[in-house]
Amino acid sequence: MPLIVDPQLRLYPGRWQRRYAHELDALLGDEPPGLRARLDLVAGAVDAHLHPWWVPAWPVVAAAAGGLGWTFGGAVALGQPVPPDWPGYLQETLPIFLAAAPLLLLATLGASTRLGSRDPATARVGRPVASIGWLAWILLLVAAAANLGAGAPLALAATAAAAGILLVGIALLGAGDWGTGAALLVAALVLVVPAPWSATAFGVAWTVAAIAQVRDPRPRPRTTGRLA
Amino acid sequence: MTPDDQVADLGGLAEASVEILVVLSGGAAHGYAIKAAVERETGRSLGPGTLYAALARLEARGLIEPLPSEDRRQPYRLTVRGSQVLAAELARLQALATRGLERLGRTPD
Repeated sequence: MPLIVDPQLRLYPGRWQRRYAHELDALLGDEPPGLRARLDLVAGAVDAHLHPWWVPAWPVVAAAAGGLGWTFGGAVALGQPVPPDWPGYLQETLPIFLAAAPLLLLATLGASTRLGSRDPATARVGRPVASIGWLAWILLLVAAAANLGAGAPLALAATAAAAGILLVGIALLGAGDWGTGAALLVAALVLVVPAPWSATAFGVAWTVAAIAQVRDPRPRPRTTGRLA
Repeated sequence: MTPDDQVADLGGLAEASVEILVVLSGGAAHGYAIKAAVERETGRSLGPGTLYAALARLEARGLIEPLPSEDRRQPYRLTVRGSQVLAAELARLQALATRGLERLGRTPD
């Protein structure tokens, strides 16, 4: 592969770089980019990560690790003495959820990569909603772990994350991706159920989502057009 | 998926994709030439990241295909499917323009 001169092209996924970086690098050599073009390249790199034509491994890894972590955290919380007194009896499980939450943020974004070059409005809205919800949730979990209290905002952040996950799930179902789409729908719905088992069910749903992604790899391999 | 769906499904890149297909309908061209032609014909800037995001999608859908190249500048050409999708999209846009102009009391040029 020819040497890539522009370091910004390293922001793109490896597979994308192997296919397009040499020619995009040539273009940038013909027309050195200004600030606006540089920002456009950043947006292009993000787009390439979110809309691959190949099957990336990281969404499955994130869903499996995050799902299993959340399942374990939920099971530990279920095993605690009742009655629950938030955040008291859950305090010791917070580090588990804190470790799993960033993984499930990645898993949510990763699940939408299964749409490939298709990008329905539900996914375009669902990704930022889920990202904001997850990030707020993570920050509030940190606050709760530090005994700063975060009851109502925490529930609000979780609801936002659930809404984003729901939209991505709907987009997947719309694309005929039944296994992963249904698992995300279940994950989103159980997340807003105020029941002791909901955290475990949420983790199990994500674990099922990881299994569904392994059983049905997407996006499909690219098709090749033919000239007459 | 119908030809119309193929373009609508490109989401935010639909407009840039149609412009790229229009350029390639005039013959094969590489990235820099496509970018220059789009900017010349539309008067709008086309960023390198947007250009290659659109090219990658169009190639994945089989609407364009790369030609053998001796250097790093990779030329692309329209496929038969790409021609069909472009024709359907242009007809849709033409019908939309005609309808809009009629409602404004103006006749298309």
